[in-house]
Amino acid sequence: MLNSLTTSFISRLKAQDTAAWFELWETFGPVLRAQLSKWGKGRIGAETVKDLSQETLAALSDSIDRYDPAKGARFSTWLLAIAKHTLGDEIDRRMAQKRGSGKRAASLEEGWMGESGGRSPDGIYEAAVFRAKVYAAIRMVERETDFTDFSVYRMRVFDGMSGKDVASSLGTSEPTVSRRLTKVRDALRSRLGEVIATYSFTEDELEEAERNGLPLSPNKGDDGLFDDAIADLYLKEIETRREEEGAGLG
Amino acid sequence: MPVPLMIILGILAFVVGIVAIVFLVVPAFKGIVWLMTNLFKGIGAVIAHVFRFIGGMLSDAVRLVGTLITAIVFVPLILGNVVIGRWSAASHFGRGLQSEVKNFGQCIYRIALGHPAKFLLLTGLTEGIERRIPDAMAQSPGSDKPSRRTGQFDGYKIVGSLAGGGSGGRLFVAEPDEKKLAIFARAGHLIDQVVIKSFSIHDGSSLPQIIRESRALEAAKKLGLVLDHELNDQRFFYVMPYVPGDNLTQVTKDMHAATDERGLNGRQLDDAMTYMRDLLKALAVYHHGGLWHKDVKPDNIIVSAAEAHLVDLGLVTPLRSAMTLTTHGTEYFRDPEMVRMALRGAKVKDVDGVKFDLYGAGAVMYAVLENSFPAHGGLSQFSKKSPEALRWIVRRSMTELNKRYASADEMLADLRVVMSASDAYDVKPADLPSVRGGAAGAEAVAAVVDEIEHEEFQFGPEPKAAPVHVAKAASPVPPDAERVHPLREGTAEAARGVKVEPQPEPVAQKRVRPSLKMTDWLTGRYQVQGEAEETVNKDEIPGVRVYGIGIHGKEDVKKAVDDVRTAIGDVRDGLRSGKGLGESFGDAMENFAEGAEEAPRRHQAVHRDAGGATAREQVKHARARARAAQDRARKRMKGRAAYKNGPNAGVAVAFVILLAGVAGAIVLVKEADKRGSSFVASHDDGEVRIGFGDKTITFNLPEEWREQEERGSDWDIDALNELGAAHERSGLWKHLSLDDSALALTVGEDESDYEASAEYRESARVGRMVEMADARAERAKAAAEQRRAEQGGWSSGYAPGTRGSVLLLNLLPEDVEREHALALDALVMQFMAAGYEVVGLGDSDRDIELVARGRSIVGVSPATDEGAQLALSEWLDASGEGLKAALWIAAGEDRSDVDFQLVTPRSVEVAPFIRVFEEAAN
Repeated sequence: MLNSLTTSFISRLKAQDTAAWFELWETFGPVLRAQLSKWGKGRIGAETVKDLSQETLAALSDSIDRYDPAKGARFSTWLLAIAKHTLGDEIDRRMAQKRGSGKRAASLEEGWMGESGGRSPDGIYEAAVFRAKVYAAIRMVERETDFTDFSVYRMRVFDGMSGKDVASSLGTSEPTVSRRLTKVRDALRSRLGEVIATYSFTEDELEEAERNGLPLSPNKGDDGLFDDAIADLYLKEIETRREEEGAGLG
Repeated sequence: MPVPLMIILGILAFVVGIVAIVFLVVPAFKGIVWLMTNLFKGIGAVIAHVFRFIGGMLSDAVRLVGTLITAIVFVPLILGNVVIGRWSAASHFGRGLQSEVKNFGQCIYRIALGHPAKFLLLTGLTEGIERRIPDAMAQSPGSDKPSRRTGQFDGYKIVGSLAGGGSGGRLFVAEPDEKKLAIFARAGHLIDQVVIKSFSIHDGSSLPQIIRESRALEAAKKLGLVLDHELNDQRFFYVMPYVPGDNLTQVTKDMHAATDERGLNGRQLDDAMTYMRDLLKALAVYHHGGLWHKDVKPDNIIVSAAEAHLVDLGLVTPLRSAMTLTTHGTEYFRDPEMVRMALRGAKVKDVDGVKFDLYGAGAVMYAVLENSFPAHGGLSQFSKKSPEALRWIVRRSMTELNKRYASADEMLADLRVVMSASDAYDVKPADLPSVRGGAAGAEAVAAVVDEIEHEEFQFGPEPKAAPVHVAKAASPVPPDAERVHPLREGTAEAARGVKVEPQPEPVAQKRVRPSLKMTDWLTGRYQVQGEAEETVNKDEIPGVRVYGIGIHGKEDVKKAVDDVRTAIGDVRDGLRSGKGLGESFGDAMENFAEGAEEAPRRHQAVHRDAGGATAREQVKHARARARAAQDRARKRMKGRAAYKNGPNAGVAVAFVILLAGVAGAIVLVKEADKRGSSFVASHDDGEVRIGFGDKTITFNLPEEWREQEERGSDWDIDALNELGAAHERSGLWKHLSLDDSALALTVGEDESDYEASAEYRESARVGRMVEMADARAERAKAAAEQRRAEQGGWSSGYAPGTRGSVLLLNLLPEDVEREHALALDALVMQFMAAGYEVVGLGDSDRDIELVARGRSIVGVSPATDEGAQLALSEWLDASGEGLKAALWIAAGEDRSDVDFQLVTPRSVEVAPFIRVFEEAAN
């Protein structure tokens, strides 16, 4: 069952809203690039990977209204299936250009997928999709919140500074730091909930945040766990993207 | 002892034992465990340290080899570019080679001092080939000369070229001629070299590129960023000051290479902040001048003489431009928000370009601190050590538009605080003016603004004020001058001394588009509406004004007319005296001015400025200001390295390597030639062939040696080859002959040669030959000594060849009896010993020719034929070869006999030869 956020987002996509496109591209572009690169390793270059990831998102917007909730497919799975088809088309095209090469056109079940060992959405891919959602939420909060508030959160959570050091650094008191921290954390919880809701098709996906130590309902006792999980996911995402960019996929 | 007591004592002992265990053994055990733990920790730390050391040594050793390989790869690139005349490219690769040499030195240094490094870091082996060479090749300049289709640039001499970048233009380094230099100097630019950015349709530039480059040209000229430009049907180019140096990307790499991996510190950090300050100053000037650079990135910042200069005007855009925003820029240094706006079709004037430049500045600062690009914009994480305040500045400049610094001045004010601290790490974000806010913050920003406005910026003398100054300079009328029209001298007003009211200083007003209103459709007369009507006196000629002299009354008019007449007369005199028109006119004007100066007070200088200075004083002050500006410019230019595209150290090293390679190759070829082609020894079916260069001797193997060979004894060809090669080297080999029973080698004709032959006794077979040769030589030597003892030296006291030449006509068949051959040898030796040169033994052209001519004369006649003897004698006389005699040797009628016949010319006595024959017979 698609929720209202998802349908709203889909409407924007179908209305050719460039901002929606850019948002989708920013959020899932890196994940798609990494997965396509993994599948097409040795066969397609970095530029082709970029093109295919864009084609995947284009195909997503064209077909999203045909999604059948009864099948219960996850958003991530669906995204991946489209990416597979896109890559399959590309391989077909290449094979067609090489007539007489003795190979049949590739299909979803063909051996070319086996090269990556990623025949089905695996744990790494799922984790990457979830991290992309968290990263998107962080980016949204960074845009929306006050610069000093977010700086406090960044210094405290991402940089691992103590509350006292943050207060000293910004010339403020620890309670102020704590208050600003709470403000950003609440915004992050809220945005994270929205992002996950927007890009989730199943109940399982909606509960993903809780399973990854990100309780979306405010709870004083869970704040520390929430911050640690956010920092862990953020730093992991930064590191992953840095590696991809180092490999020429940025 | 009673049992209960024993039990009690036993219990007590048990308790004491337990207590002892608890209080003594357990702590002791704990202590042992602690000791062991720390011991193992210590051992582990020592092992880790050792491994780190070994790893570091290995890594540096591998990098050392990689650097050498890279340097070798650079050499052909340098030489190739020198060969095709691309001096700039050669110089460029030379700098690359210099860098490799520098890396080599650093590796040596680290190895020598044992720097710890990562274990098995094999990337050092290939990093030069994989990264530095491609980088250098990608940035290599093109041809040093513009193509014929592009043509030359008038007023500029091209001295080199630079890498063009992605704008489609070509960059040349040029030296302006005297005229251009004078023009630039007048504008306050004291420069020796310039960069010409040229776009030519013929060379592949596109119209959009040309339009994009030219749209901010006028504004850039006002700021002094562009010195000159030209646009015609074929091409477009503009001229900028040349700033030599490395770009900030390279400088950042060097800075990080000079520090540990944790991040910038000390001097490097100070330098980094200085570069950022320079960048922000430059941006402030751009923004104050109404321009948006739009491509701020490390590659566009050149560090020269410890100053950073923002270059590349390819994307410079007026902030108020009505054009549509484009996505041009460089990824990671371009704000993603700008891309969004461009995709939405926003106009440039509707966005805040200043903030996008500041995003780029923040990204540059991140790149400098991290030695990497900010892949995640404002969310990019710092992984290296850097001052918290600088991180704050970076994040503040890369955050969302509405929270970003509003101006470069604000950002610079923050940076100033960090730079002014004794330790940048002590500065907290709370200390920054932008965080403090309030009056203090505003004051800091105002101070920066004030400094930017008053400081003469690198690009021009007075950048911010340039538009205003340009406007003033365009007006020939000093603001406060009282003006009198010259042609009103004769009018009634002039006669009455009427002073014309000064015209108001032109004030910049909002321009109103004028509209035309037809007043007479028949004649087409119209009236311009909406434009201030200018009241023009009928007597006044617009644009021609003389100011500075007030004319009162008729006398003044007369005096003025006289002065003008005198001036005209001066011009005529000057022309008559042979001076040029310009010179004559100049002299006349000088006299005229002096006359005006000396005139009574009624000729008052009235064009005084607000300070009351006269025109002369104003000119004087203006010149002083110009000189001061030139001094400042000179000071600024001092220390800047000029563009050099001549051979550098790298090119020299490449040539040294080339010369060493050529020399090595020559040595190898010569050595191979000596071993291979210059000496060949072979034998086939008893025939031995030995060749030295162009000389070849063939002889039959002695019988006994043949027998040895048949028995399986090797005929030592290798040894013979060695022998020949050694002789070739020493130059001692003279003669090879057959002795009675074996091959004999004669290595020379005097004693020193014989002694030298002793060194060849190493090989058994060859040694035997040498021994035999030595024995023969010894015998000859003994015989010679005996003869000298009997005769007091050489026969007749002559050295060989000093008494003339004797032609040997040896017509004996090859199978001549051995004793006859020996006799012949003895006779020849005797002639030589008697001081004669025997012609016909060698294979020189002269020998061959003379023998051939002698043979043709004697033909097949027997040696006893008197007719043939006479003919030979006459020929000897007439040949002119200085032949004293001919020794004609031929087989007798009985083949066992040999006829020895000596034939002399008529002019030569026979007696000396008879003595020689006698001695030979003895």
